[in-house]
Amino acid sequence: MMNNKFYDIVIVGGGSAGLSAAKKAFEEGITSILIIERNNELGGILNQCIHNGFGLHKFKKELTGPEYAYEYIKFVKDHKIEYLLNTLVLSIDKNNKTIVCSSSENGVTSINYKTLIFSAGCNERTSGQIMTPGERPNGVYTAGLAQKLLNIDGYLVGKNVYILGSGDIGLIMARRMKLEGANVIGVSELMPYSNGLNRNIVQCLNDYNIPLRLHNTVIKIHGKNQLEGITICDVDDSLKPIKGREEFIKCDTLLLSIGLYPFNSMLKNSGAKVNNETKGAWVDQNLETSLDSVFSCGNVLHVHDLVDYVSDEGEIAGKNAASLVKNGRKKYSKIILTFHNENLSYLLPNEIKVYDDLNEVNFSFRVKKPISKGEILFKDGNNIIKKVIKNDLIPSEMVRIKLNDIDYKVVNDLKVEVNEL
Amino acid sequence: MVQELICIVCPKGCHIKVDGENISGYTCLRGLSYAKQESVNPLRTITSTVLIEGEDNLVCPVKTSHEIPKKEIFNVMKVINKIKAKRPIKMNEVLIKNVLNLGVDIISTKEIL
Repeated sequence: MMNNKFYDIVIVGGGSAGLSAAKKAFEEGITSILIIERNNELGGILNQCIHNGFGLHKFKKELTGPEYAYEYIKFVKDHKIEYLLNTLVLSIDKNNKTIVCSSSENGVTSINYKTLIFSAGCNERTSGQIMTPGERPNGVYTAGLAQKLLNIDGYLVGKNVYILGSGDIGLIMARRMKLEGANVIGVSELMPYSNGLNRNIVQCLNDYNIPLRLHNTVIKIHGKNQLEGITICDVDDSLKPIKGREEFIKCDTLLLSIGLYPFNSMLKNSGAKVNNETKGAWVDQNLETSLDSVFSCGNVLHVHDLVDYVSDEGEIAGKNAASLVKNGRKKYSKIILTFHNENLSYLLPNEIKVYDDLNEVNFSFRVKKPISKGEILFKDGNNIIKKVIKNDLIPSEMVRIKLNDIDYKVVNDLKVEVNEL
Repeated sequence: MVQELICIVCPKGCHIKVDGENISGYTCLRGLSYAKQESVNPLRTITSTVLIEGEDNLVCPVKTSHEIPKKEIFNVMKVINKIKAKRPIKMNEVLIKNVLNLGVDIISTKEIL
């Protein structure tokens, strides 16, 4: 039994964020690290993302998901960083700095931490969350579940497939199922623009002549036990179905690629302040949450489109957790709150703690609608601190900007504006 | 004839125009070579899975070691779907050598011990 073991850093979730945090913390000199993973292997969602295109930023080469994960898993194993598999974290006790977890091997155990890094990833939105009218037959899957079943278990969920939502997982699955011999009939996207990356439209849909219908959605699901078809319909500018533009499509499988949201409920239930826009935790520039010594990074903090950026965020959390372990809590002179204008859907960090040695802050945000020529302003009141010109901003691509040449000590509050030029 | 391409080399997705020798709109050298190649003979890396001997619900992810012509994709898939890998499988182990004489191997992308 391993009751009440103690670690300097406990990492909840052994996916890309958690693995990267572990690697960075180890490189910073921390050896007392434990990664807790609920699956039967490390790597998280990368294991089922068998397509290539990962690692161009981080490793300067094109890797598949499992290969990208392997770069980190190998580090963890080579350096004997401890990890638990098949282990579910049940709760966090912020006062005693203890987590409770369970596994069939060890039963229910508690583990004490000095710092905790929460990197539990995200969940897929399901049909219940968009309340598609009609019946509830077999054959309706989230795209990520169908991906897991196909790429890890080797099970093709259907032969005649329609996809709702043009998120990247949906596009990737359109190609994947087509390659395995399924008839992929088409993809509907509610918005007038795709939610996936351009390259995925090209190499997943255009390459295989799979039509993408924009401003279109599924308005009814048909079939008592097994899915027999769907009704799709064009929508107007207020996203309401247009009468007379319905079309019945016969299919046995409907994949939903309608968005992801941070799997943040445990942190929320432990009393951590939540960012209402991301649904992830409220964090400072070190990615520390409102709970003492608890950090959050990766898709549980906000949903990313590139794993390379998830790894970067894991590094920030790992580095700052390591610093807290080594140097203890530093004093800060004040807290700057961050705000944004109506063209951003969210902004991180939520606050900046002005430590004496603070010199750089990494900002991440997304725009609400496509902006072809944009200016990004960092403002203190009406005073413009920094201006960045950026073109082709789209909601599906996160923007990251590092600000290291400003004196945070004289800033009162910080507003980020994106304006169409 | 002007060909309009969207670059798939990285997630940026640059819009590139190819008019014979005249190529514009790319923002890196990789994009330029993509456009040159794409306008004459499109190439793609194929990723898929292969069955594993003795396993009912575990498959091994694989990829082509280099890009293959787009028109060969489904022919290569047929070969990939015929074989069974044997455990233990090393990372980037060659599972099919010189598939369909294309000069490209099918290699594993995961270590399954």
